[in-house]
Amino acid sequence: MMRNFLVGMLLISLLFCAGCVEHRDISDLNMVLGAMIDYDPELAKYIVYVQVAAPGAFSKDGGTRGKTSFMLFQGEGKTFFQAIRDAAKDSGKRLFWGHCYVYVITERLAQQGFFGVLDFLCRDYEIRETAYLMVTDKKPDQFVTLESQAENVPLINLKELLDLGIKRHGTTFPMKLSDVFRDYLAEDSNYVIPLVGIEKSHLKTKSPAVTDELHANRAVVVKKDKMIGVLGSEETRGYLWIRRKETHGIVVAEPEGKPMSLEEIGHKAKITPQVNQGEISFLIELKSELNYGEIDLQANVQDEKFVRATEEAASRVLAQEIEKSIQKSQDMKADFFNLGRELQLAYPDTWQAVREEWSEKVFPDVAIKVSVKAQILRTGLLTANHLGGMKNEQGR
Amino acid sequence: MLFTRLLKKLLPSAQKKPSVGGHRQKQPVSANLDKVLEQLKQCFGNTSDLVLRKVVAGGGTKPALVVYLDNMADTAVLNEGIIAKLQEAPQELVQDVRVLSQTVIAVAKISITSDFNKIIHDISYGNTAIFLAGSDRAIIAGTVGWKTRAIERSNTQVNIEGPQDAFVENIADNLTLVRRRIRDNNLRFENMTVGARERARVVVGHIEGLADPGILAEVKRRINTVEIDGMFSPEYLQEYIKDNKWTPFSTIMKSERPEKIVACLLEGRIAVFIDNYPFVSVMPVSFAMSLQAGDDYYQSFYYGTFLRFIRYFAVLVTLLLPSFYIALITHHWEMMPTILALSILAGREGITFPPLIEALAMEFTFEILREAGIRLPKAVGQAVSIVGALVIGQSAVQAGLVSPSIVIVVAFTGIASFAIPDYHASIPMRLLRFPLIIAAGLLGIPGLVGGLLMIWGHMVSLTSFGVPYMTPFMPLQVKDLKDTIFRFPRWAMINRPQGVPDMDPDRTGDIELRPGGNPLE
Repeated sequence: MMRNFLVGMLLISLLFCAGCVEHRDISDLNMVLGAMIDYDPELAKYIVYVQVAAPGAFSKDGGTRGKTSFMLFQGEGKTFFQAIRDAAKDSGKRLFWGHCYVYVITERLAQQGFFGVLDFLCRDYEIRETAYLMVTDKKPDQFVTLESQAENVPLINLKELLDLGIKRHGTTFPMKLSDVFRDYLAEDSNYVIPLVGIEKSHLKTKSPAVTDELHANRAVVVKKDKMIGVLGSEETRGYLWIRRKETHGIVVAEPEGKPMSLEEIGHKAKITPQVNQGEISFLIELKSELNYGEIDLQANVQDEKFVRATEEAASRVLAQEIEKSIQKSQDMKADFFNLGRELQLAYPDTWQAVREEWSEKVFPDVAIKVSVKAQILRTGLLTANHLGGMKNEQGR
Repeated sequence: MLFTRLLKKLLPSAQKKPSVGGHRQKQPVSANLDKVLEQLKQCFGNTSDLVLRKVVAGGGTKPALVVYLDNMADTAVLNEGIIAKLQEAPQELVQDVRVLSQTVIAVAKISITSDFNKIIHDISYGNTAIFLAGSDRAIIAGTVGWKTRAIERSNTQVNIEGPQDAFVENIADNLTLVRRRIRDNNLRFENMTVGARERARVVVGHIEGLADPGILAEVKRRINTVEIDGMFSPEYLQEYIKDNKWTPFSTIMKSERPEKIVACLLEGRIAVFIDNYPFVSVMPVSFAMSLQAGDDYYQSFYYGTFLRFIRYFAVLVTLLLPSFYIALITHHWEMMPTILALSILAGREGITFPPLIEALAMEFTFEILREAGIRLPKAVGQAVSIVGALVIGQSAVQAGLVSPSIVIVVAFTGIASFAIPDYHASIPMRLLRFPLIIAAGLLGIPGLVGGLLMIWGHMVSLTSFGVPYMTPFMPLQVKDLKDTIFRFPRWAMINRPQGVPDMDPDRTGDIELRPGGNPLE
C-alpha cells in the first residue's frame, strides 16, 4: 500500500517535469497575429512591430471592422529577442506567439542578413515553424499601420494572400519558416522568399471602401541569409512553374495576334543535368496542362490545327518566362532553381569538382535549355466559337 | 498509514454477530385450536392485520381455524376456495388434513406442514394457514394476492420501437415477462431468500446449458453470503456481491426491459430478480453492454452502427470535453485554431474567475439543476428548466460572470451524458469528470492524460464475476467487436459473445428447432 502510494506520487510528480506547468488564463494573453521586423543599420538596432487582436474585435457583436480593431506594439533592442521582450513592456499582458502566422522582414534587414531572426524563430518553442516568412520593400510606418478591408488584424491577411496567390495567379507562394531554414542550411544556399507590398487603389475617390491594400506578387532572391535581388511577377511565375507545381494562374498566349487566356491546370517539370566532356548543361522540360479560359478570336476550338497553334503559342510564353527567370538567376549568380542539387544527384563526381565555386563561377555560364510542351485539355463550356453571332458557328 | 487506519475504523469489522434467525428450531403445531391461537398471538403480537377466522366444518362437527394477513391474501380465493368449501364439506372429509387438502380446499398451491415456524413464515408471505382441530399438522394454501401495479411502459429506458412493457414490482409478473419470451424448458428460476427481516425473494434465472455453471454457482454463493435485514434494491445486492467493491463503475447491469434481460440470458448471462423492485440485474457484464440500446437492434444495422458511434463519442464528450477545454485555454493556447482562440479570448474578456473555478462552478450548477429537476413534482418541473436556462444560460453570461464558451461546453457535456442509454453507466463518467477537470486545470494535457491513464488502468483491472469488464476491447476479442462500436447485421452475429464463458458458443444449432407455435393453438 505504502509502496503503491509512493510510486503513484512519483508518477504524478513526473507530470510537473513535462514543461507545461505554466498555468495562465487565456485572457491574460495578448495574441500576436502578425509581426514586422526591421533593422536600423545606423543605430544597429532591431525594431519589431507586433499586431495584436484588440479585445472584442473577434466577438460576435464587437466586430469593429474598419475602426481600429488591432493593437500595435513596438520594441527595439540590440538583438531580435531583446526587441521582442521590449515590445512586451508596452503590451501589459504577456505576448503569445503561438498564433502568429506572419513574419514580415524589411528590405534593409533582409539585405543586412536575417539569420539572427531566423535562428530565434526556429529556436523558440512557442513560435510555429509553419508560420510564413516574407519580405517587404515598404517602410514599416506605411506597412503596419495599413488597415485591411478583409481582416480585423491586417497582417493575418498576408497568410491568405500567399496561400491563395499560388492557386489563383501564381506569382506568389507561401514560404514557411521551416522551409526557409531548410533552404538556408542547403549546401549551395540560394532561395526565394515572397515579397509583399502595398497596392495603391486604381480608383481616385475618397470612399472609405477604397483603400490601399496589402499585396503580394513578387519574390526576393536570398543567398544564405542576405537578400541579393528581386524577381518580378513573371520571373516569379517562371520559377514557380519549375519548382512548385501547384500554380493555377492564367497564361496569356497570342496564337493569332490577339490575347487569349489559358488557365493552368497542372505542370510537370523535369530537370536533366548533362555532362559532356566536362561541359555541364541542363535540360529543363516542362509539361503544362491548360484549359481554354477566354477566346477573343474567330476560331474553332474543336479544330486540331487551332489547338496545336494555341499549344505552341502557350509553350512560347511559358518558355519565355522561365528563361527570363533563369537568366536572372544566372545574372545574380544565385542558383535558386537548385540545379546544382540535380547535378549532385546525377553526377556526384562532377559536383565534387565544381561545388566550391558553383554559384559564383560555374553556374552563371552553364548552358540551360528550356523545352516546354503545353497541352490543351478542355475547352470550357463552349465547344464552338460564337464571335460574331451564330452564323459563324463552324463546328456543326 | 492514516488513511487505511481511518478506513478500518469506519468499516464494519468482519467478526460474525449472532444471526437474527438463529432461534429457528422446529416448533410443533398443537392439536388444540386454543393453544394454536395463543401461539399465533404470541408470534404476531397484537398486529391488526392478522385475521383469525374460525370456521366449523363437517356439518358443524369439526372446528377449524383459518389464519391469514389481511390484504396480503387474495380475498376471493379465501372466500370461495377455502371458507365456503370448508363450511360445505361433509363430515367424512374433514377428519384428516391430507384428505381435506386433497378433496375440499380448492386452491392450486397447497402444502402440509407440522413446523410452526414455517407456518408463521408462510403467513407473512400472504399465504393462508388452515388448522384443523385435533390435528397436529396444518394446511398452507397459496393465496398470495395483493394489489399490484399493472405492467406499464418503461420510463427510464425508453425505446422508439420494440416491446414497450417493463418490469414491475411484483416478481411473479417479472418472471412471467421473461418466461413468455423464452419458451424453453431449460430456462430455470431458482428461489433464494435475502434479508433476515425482509426475507426478499430473490430469483436467479439462467438457461441451463448456456450459462456457465461455475459463474452460476458463484452468483448463488455470493448472494448467500449477504447478511442484512432488508434487501430492497439491486444496488444493495450489487454492492455486496460485485468483484471490486470500491469501483464507481457498475459491473452488474440493471435493466427495466424484459427483452434486454432475455437477450442477456440467451448470451449465457445470469439474471437476478429481486421481489418488489422493477429492475432486474444481469451478470457478468462488460462496459460495451452499457452502450447498447434496444433500438440498435430494432432498426437497420447501418443506423444501429451510427447510433453506436454517437454513443461512444458521447461517452468521450461526457468524460473529457470540459477538462480538454480547460487544458486548452489554460495551458495550450497554441493548440486551438487561431480564430477559435480569438473568439474564446474575446468571450473571456472581463470574466472574473479563472477558467478552472468557472468550469467547476458551472458543472456543479448543472448537476444541481439536474438533481432539482429529477426530484421536483411534475407541475413545478417547468420552473426549474426556465430558471435554469434563463439564469445560467443567459443572465450569467450577460452579467459577465461566466464566459459563453464554458456555457456551451457544460451544456454539450450535459446533453452528451444523456445520450448514454444506461443511466447507471453514465454516472461514473459524470463523477470522474471533476477530478479530470482539476487535473487538466493544474497540469494541462499531461494532467489530463495522466488522469485518463489512471481511469483506463482501473477500468481494465475490473472484472464482473471473473469476466474482464472491458472485454472485448481489453483483452481484445476481435469477434466480439461486431456488437460494440459497430452493430453488425444479425446473421453475422450467430455466435454468442466469446467474452462470456458459456456452454454453447453457437446460437443456431443448440436446440432442435420446433415446427413452431403452441400446439394447442
